[in-house]
Formats: sequence, structure tokens, C-alpha cells
Amino acid sequence: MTLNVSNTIPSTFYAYTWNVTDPAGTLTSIINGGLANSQTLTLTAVYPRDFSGASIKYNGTYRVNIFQVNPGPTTLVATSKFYAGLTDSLSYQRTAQVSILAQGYASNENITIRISHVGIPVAGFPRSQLANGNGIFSYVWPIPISTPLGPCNVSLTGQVTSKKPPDSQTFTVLPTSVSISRLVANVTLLQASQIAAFSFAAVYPDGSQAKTGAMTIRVVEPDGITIHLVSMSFNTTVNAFEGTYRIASSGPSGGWVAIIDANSFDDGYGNLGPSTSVVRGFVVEPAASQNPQTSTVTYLLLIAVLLLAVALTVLVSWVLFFARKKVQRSVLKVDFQSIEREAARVQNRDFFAKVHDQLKRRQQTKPEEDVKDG
Amino acid sequence: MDMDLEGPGLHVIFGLDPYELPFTLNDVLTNGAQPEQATVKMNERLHLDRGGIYFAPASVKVEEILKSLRSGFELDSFSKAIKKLTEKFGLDYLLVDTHPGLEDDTLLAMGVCNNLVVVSRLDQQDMFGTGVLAEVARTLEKPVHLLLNMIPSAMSPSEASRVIDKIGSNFKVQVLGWLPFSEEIINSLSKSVFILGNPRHPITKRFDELGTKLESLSGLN
Repeated sequence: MTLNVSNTIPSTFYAYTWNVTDPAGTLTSIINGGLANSQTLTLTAVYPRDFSGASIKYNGTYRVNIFQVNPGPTTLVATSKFYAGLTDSLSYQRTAQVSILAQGYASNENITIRISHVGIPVAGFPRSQLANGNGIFSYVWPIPISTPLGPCNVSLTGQVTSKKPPDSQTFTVLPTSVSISRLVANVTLLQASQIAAFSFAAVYPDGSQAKTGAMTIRVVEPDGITIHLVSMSFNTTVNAFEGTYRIASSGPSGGWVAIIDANSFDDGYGNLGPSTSVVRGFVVEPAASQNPQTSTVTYLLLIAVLLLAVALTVLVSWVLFFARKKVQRSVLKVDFQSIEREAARVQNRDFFAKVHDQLKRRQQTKPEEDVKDG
Repeated sequence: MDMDLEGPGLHVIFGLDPYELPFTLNDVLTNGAQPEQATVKMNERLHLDRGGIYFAPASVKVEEILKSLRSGFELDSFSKAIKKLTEKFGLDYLLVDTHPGLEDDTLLAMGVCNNLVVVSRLDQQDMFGTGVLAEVARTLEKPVHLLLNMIPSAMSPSEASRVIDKIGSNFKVQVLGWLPFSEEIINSLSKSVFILGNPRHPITKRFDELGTKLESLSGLN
């Protein structure tokens, strides 16, 4: 506490009595003073350090009265108050940690802690914990995401010590935020009539993942106006929210965007996110044209299917009769013809031709530039 | 350089809001902004006291992403931007992170690069994409180096090496190596640069080895 005295008379000694009354009504005092060197004088006192027999064992309001005792007569010159709480803040977001601290209990005394909302105990309370050897009690409560919003009361009761006023205080629980850093798409290049699968992870400020709630994301067509809504729900297998959208066969080709709008995600308890929208772009190409199948193609296809069926039968028989070890092997198959077809499709695009031409031109005209570039 | 224009995300790992900068990479590509104005030095944020790391983020605004997708890209202007950045900041290496697909912006990055590092997983879709990319890169005469990521822990190191060698040989690309699946990296939720926060983690050692291999690639030094 600081006392600023103005209009003092230089070279005059000023003395003050500082009285502090705690919430239990106990009064403790100190007297301090100083010689005024100019027209102002500043004095300080620290409670409870400077006050004999003082402590902060009660939570509540501590009242301060300061009397000037020299030069006389004794006069009340200043009043003030301060608040000592059980918690380190008066409001918290869910997932934050409430640090509860109290003193004035017996050494190693068993303390019951109660946290309630509108008189109903919050899940996990009441619970008990011992004070330390100095009678100091401390407890940290990470607020669960589903804790009711609004005022919560915390109270402490000692098995031996009876405090008047009791240790009891109110703090406010606020919703927390949910961050979504990225919207993942299974592929970035789709053809009309294919399915786009989206997923995202929603994370609370304490780093834990949201696993409840549902939401819709917006899928915007290249015109920027036509919107489709996609429901996203939590998949426990992949530990993420998932949803799919089938591009209509008549869907326009071009750049599409999937958007998680700001605060569109609600975990079901009123915790919202993300703070800003999250977007993911993908490109839709026209559906591959179906070449009219000639009878030869159909015939070859039939043969291929028959061969595959025979191969499958042989394989199953081998597994049933000869495989001794129960080992499951994953087989990665790559269709080189499909790869060549897809590569050719890319290479037929105008932009590829443009890049290729520019590269060839640069190699012909300025070969030394390639070495420096990039 | 975050060239994943359709779904930028590197700024999350670097803990950077792209709008701290006057411009983003999208402005460089579509509005003619100066590349150095879309670039930020990361040493202080990453607590690095040696060397220099610069980062060029992409826009996360919907309208700018759509604009980038709609508008065309110019190889020459992008090439000049790359050259300008290299000279301005005295870069030894410039890494361009593209999105997994062969769109115009990916082709653009392929066009200007000296080497392509393809990071792929052991699944059908990734293998198909890797094969296509290798084919296209061959036409552009760009060397491809394959890195397999998220190799399942059930697979022994020798088996993983055998598989990647086989894939490299089938696709006719140089094999750079493989990285195991790491639960810790998944659990880090892209909140920071994992290897900087976990210098003694085995995966950090793998990245160190990978860095050494990358340095030895021709055309990089």
C-alpha cells in the first residue's frame, strides 16, 4: 500500500497509523513516517509483512484506515480496501486451470473442497485433500469442457479449523475456444461424380482434442455463389471429424473450396471455433468421357474378369491348403498403364505445354540462367 | 515457400499469422507484389541464433485462394521471383512446399526447381500420384528423389529399405530414404517445428541424416 501526502511543510516529520481490519474483524496496525523534504511525501506499507500478528487467512475484503498522528491532532486522512481471494482469477475459460490457495489451517489438516454451480456440486466434487505442514492448502482444478457456464462457488472446510467467515468465493466459468488449424481433403484433384472426403481435428487450448459435437462445412463451387453443406461428425477410428461430398456428374469443373466458417464448430457444450475460417481448395475436372465400348473391348474385359476369378480361386486355395503361418501381408499394387494415362492427361494440358515450352526456350537461349535459378 | 495455395498450412507450424506481412505468396503470383515483401525471417521466432531461415506464407483468405486457382501462372515471372529471393537473402537453398496434386501451381514449382523431393506414403493413392509425378518430371527433365513417410512400425527397417528400393526402381527415381510413423509427431498437432522442440528425438536424427543427403544432391550446392 502507498500513501501519497501532498502540501507537506519541508523539514517537518509526518507520522501515520495504518489500521487494517480483516474479514473476521481483527484489527492490526503499524505506525510509520518520514521527514518531508519537499511539498510531497510518499510512504509505503506491506500487509501482512509489516503488521504485527497479521495474516491473510480469511478470504474477503480487508479495510484500511490511515490516521495522521504527527503533526497533531490525530486525523483520518485516507481509507482504502483490498480483496483476498481463494482463486488466482475471478473468471476462467473452460480447460483453464483454477489455482485455489488458502492458509490458516492446522498442519496437515484434512480439507474438504466443494465446487458447485447454482447449488449443485460440479462433477468430481466434493473431494478432500490435506493442507501442508504450514497449514497452507493449495489445489489446482482444470475446468472440464462440459462444466456449466456462469458463476461457480468454491468453498473449503477444515476438519478441525472453523473459519468465520468461511473460505467461500465465486468465480465465473466461460466457454473455451476450439482451434482448427487445417481442413484436410482426401484428394485435391477430382472428377465430377467422384466423392470428396474432408476431415479435421479440433483442439482445445490445453491441447486436448474435441470429440463431441457436429457441424457443417460449406463446399463452394467455382462460381463462388453455389454452396453445398456437408455434415461432419467425429470418427473414433481416425480420431477426427469426417464428412464426404459427392460431386454431381454435372458439377462444374474448376477450383472448388471447402470452408469451415468462423465459430461454426460447437462441441455440444457451447465451446466454439475456429476463430477465423479455415479453407481447403480442390480442383474438379469434367467426368472422364466414356468411350463407346466395342465388342472386342467387352470380350477382352470378360476374359480379364475370368482370368482374375481363376487367379483369385488359385490364391484362395493356396492360402487354405499351403499357408502355414497366419501372417497377413498387405500388397501394394501399382497400375503402370493407369499412371501413364494420367501422366499423359497432365502433359496434354495447356499449362504443362506452356511450362515445357518455356523451359525448352530458356535452355536454348539462356542455359546459364538455369544453373542460378531456384 | 508455402506453395500449397489450395490449403496452406505451414504458417500454423511456424506460429505465424500470414497477415503480419504486407503481402502473401498469392500477391506475388497474381498481383505482381515484390517477393521479399511476402517473406519473413524466422530466426527469432524459432529461437535460432545461427544461419537464417526465411518463410513465404500463402494466403488463407477464401477469395484470394479462389483467385489464385482461377488465374494463370507464369513460369518466367515465378522464376524471376525465386531468383530475386535467392539473391536478396543470400539463400543457400529454397524449399518450395506444394500441395499433393498436379495442378498448375505444382507444375510451376516443378518447372523452376532443380530437384524434386517427393514425400509419399505406402498407400495406393500416394503410389499412383508418385508414379504420375515421376512421369511428368521426366518429361520436364527434373530429377526426382523419393522419400517414404509414415512407414508403419510393424515393418522392419530392412523391409522398409527393400520396399522403397523396389518402388524407386519401378518408378526409375532416386531413393532418398524413409521416415517411420511417429505417434509423437501426430500428437504434436502441428503446433510447432517438432525437431526444434525435440532435438534428441530419434526422428530428429533421421531428419538430420535426410538434410545431409539433400545437401549432397547435385544442383543443390
